[in-house]
Amino acid sequence: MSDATVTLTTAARAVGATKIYGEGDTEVRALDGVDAHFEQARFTAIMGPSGSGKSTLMHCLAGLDTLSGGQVFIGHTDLSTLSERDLTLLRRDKVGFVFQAFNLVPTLTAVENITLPMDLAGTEPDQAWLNQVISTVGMQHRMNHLPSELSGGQQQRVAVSRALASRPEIIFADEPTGNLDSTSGNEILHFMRDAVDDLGQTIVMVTHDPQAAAFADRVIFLADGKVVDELLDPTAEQVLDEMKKLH
Amino acid sequence: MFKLIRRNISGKPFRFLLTCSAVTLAVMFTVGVFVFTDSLRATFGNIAEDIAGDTEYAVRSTVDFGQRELVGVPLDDNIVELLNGVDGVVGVQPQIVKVGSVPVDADGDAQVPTTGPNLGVNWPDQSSIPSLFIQQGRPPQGPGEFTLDSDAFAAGKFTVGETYQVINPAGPGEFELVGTFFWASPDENALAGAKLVAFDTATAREVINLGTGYDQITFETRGSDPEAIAEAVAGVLPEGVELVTGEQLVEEQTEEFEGFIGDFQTFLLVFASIILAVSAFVIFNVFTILIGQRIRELGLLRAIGASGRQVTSALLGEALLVGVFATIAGTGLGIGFGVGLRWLLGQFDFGPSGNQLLLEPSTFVWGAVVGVGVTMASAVAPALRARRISPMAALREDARLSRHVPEANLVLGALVTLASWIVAAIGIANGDWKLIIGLGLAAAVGNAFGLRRLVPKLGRYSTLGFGLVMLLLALLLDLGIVADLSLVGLAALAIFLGVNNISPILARPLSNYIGRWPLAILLGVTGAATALAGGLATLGALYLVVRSLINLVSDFDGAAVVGLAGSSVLVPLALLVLVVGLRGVDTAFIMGWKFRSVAASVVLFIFGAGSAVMVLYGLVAVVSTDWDSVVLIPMGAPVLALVFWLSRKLPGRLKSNARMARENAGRNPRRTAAAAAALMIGLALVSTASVVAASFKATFADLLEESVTSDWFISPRGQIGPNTPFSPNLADDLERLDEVENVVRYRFASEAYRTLFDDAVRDSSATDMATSLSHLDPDFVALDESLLNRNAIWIHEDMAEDNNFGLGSRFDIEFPDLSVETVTVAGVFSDSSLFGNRVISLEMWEDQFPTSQDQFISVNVRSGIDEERARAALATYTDSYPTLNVETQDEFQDRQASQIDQALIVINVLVGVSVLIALLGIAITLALSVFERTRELGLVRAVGMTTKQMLRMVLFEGAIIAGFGGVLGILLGTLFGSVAVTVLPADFISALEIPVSNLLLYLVAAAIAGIAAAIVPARRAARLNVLDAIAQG
Repeated sequence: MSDATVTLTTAARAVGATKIYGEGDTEVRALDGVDAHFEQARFTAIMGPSGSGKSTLMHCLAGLDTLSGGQVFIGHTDLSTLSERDLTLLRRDKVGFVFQAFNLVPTLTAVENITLPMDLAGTEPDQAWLNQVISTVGMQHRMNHLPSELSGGQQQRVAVSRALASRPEIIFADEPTGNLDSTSGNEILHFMRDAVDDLGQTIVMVTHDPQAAAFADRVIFLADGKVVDELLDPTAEQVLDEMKKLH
Repeated sequence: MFKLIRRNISGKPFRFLLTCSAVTLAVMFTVGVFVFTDSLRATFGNIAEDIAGDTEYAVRSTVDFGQRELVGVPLDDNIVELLNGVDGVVGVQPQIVKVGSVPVDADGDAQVPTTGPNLGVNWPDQSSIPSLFIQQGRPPQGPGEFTLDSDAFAAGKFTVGETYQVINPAGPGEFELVGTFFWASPDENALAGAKLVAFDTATAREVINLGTGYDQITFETRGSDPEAIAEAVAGVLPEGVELVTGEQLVEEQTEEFEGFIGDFQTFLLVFASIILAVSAFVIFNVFTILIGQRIRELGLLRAIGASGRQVTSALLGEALLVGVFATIAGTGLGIGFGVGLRWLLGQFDFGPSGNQLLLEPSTFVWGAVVGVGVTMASAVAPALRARRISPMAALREDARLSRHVPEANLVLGALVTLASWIVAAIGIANGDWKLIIGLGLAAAVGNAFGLRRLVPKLGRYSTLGFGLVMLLLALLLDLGIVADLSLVGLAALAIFLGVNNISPILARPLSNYIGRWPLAILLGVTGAATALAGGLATLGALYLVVRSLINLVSDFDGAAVVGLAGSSVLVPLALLVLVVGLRGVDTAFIMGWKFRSVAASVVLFIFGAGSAVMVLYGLVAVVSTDWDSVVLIPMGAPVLALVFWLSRKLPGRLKSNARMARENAGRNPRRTAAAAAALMIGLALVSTASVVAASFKATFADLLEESVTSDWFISPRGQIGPNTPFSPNLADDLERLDEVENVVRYRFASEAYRTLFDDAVRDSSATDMATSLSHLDPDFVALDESLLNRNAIWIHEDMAEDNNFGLGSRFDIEFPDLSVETVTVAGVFSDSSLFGNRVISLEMWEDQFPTSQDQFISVNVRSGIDEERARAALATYTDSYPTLNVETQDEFQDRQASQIDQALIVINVLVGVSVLIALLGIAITLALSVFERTRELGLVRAVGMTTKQMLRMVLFEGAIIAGFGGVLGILLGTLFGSVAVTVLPADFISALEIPVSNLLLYLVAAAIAGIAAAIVPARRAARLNVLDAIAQG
């Protein structure tokens, strides 16, 4: 998994992506012409200091937010051409999410949370695949528990399972380990790594933790709304050095 | 602190207005009632002054008891001569006033006012103080002339100089209309609702008082010492005739009006208090939720040094502002409401005259008491609980308000509990309804306080238990109607509170069962029906708008503008109904329709509903001690249990948003329960009224079917006002018809005579006893036809038992003129619904009450005469009486039933206001829940829930909460209604009837109303910005 070869196809990409908040004197350019691409079946991390626009980029890529200029694509779909409803359906059918916290609906059991997007779509989950995903994260015995009965790490594992369950084209993870102790955090990162290696899943993760970024195949660095650098097969030390340069 | 309060309100104006709205409606209703009744009182006060204010002195027969119009013995000309013989007496004016003179206009329409009586009077020509003032024409002179009051003249088709029919106590006759007059004032007609016909004195004496004499004689005095003259008059008056002053007359009249207005005010205030109770629930709920949401903020306040007391007073300060604002808004709206009420009743010729609108200071006091008082009282408990929020709450994610569980204290608990029951017993023993309810409520509170300390685990059930015991007492004790009904009322109040205490336990399982297929199917069907109705209404409203626009163009005047404004208001209302219906249908699709699931659940629903109805009937049978039907419980219960068990196994998975809606309704059971409680009360009252009305109808139907055999009924028309009795001549005429076998007349007085053995004033009927045996059967226990003569009496078996009377027993009765007659028991009957408790012979009645008229007559036709021929034959005489209904048994029964239905509609409209507030409460609760769950809603939107699915989810939750309140309310209402029917005396209601289809209709309406309440919160939820929602928290 070391080289980026031309045979890899792109799962998502941003072309001149610009996001402006406010007007006039208070204008803030969260994204200032970002060009980036995220290959299929690879684990990409987005890093950058606070305010660099890394979360905004992810939100725009995932169809949660809209751009002020430029384009983002999931596969061959240009998100700027989609209606609000189509964006919702895209999120439901082609995108998986793992948030930092509050990932699960408190009134639904773990398994109900996992199948929620398919349930909303009215499709039956692929039972074999579901079992494989659940056993991969090691949660098969806690599937009928409510989120309040699970630990933080277990909740994140359920969240990862949900993201995987519908076999989306791409998974976006926003600081998935931010609220976890290092042991649980490492577990989650291993699962994500395995999902890419064993299941061929595409994952894009926003983080500010060099340790977490080291699990990725590739790290891109953002500062002031622009892509400033990238690393392939990073180690935690390399990432840390790069971050120091940015500060 | 005050700055914080102000910021809280100005920062969230929408929330503040929502909180105010429920209180505002309650204040509005209360203020409206007071404004209206005060104005009514002032108007009637003026009328009382008008009637008698100018009179100096009057003489009349002494009446110990009973209605003066009926029992007053007419005075003859001797008295007039006596008065004229006293020195200083001038203007001796004989007067005649009687109910029952009806003019018929050129179109043949009898001029019967919808409220108020038809009065016949004589034209006063002796008195120097006039009371009738000619408007056009001249006063009546001679036997063939009459005059009309100006309003009656304007209401019908009359021309001065023409001849019209007037139906008098002496029967119908032709009279020439010679003039119109104002009553009591030279400038305007001061009559309120009544219609007045005047003849000259001699004619009036013949046609109104059947030649017997005068009702009273007024006179004035001349000279320096009126009192000495009055004394001289009193000295010459014979036994049984009394002298009264004008002031006394005004006072009596005012008292009589006061009684009527007081009853009317009480009636309206009962509904105002229901609305208050519902509003209190809503406000309590809103404050509890608000404090729950702000718990971290309040914890922060505590952390930076605010004392618990300061937190409480900050919250109470907020409540005070809500109360004050709502009072101001509600008072303004209430005055408008009072005006509206006046206008509405004015359409029925009833209510305050002119533009008089009285704003008494007490009205504003009551408005403030209701607005500020209820708000503060509802906010006290949550505000006190907020005092216990620890500073740590600011730091914790999942901080919750803790429930206060008192420490067990056996001695205190036992003492307080015991004391409460003694207090309750004192109230019940006293028997006064105010004491029963007042002391009873105090006892309920004490009982809860005591039991919670005695057995902490039972504390939650204490108030419910208290209510059930009261209900049982109402059933078992025989304390009289009023006391028994107040016990039922007390029980209802306690049970409402008690169910509210335990409904958090019920909320989860119940909403779990409600939020399933049946509800979705219900929503689909009723949504479609509602949408259809809304669509048609919209088209209708648009048509009205177009028509009034055309009117406006062709004929610009005030009425056209009002018409346009009115019809324009209808359009959005109709559109709202349409939208609610469509939303209902759409929400039904939340379940995702799969044939297998739909079919299975329809089958389960039918079995479930069927068995539930069986169990319900069984429970009702227990209440009404109908032991044969109790077997329905063991028959229905297993089926019901099986249905519940099977419904868990229903094939197919529930869609997530349906499941989430259900879980959301159950996740904060206390809140769901409180939101539903308000609706529960409203629907319980509607259902109670429905059960009582249905039972009343059933009783009436049973009665007519079983004990009434006569072919035809002739009764006065008029639905709201007092029934005008009619001339006894009609019965005489009908008796002469070839087609008629016989005729029976009925008369009644609520205070007819005094039974001397116990000195009690009694109501009584009178009829042609022997003939009546073939017309109706009051279920005789004993009857001796040989005793049926002038002095016969039939009595109810209770009276017979209480006094050891049997056939042939004799006792003395004293009539209002103090004459005593001896009566002999000729029959004992058990069904008091036909005659009341006593019947005497028509002969004795006519001797005692010579001017009394018929209330009702029944006719049997000869065999072989068909309905059409009978109708035609009766019409030869009844055609002259357009005020009467001539009906066959079936027609009579149908009309009575429809009148009960109309009364039920009036009650339901009034209770409807509280249902509206309850829906507002559900809307507020849902809006706050949506706000609280913003992050969760953002999450599900992020992972792919569409706005439509979100909309359905919140709407379904609204329907579940409403369904929950509906189920509880309808069950309780059925229970209360059944108990009330059992408690009410058998001569009023004897058959218990549960109007199942009506009750189901209320449930259906509740579910669709839940959709209506949820529309705004649902839209807010659906429009949440996903990114902001996730970021929140």
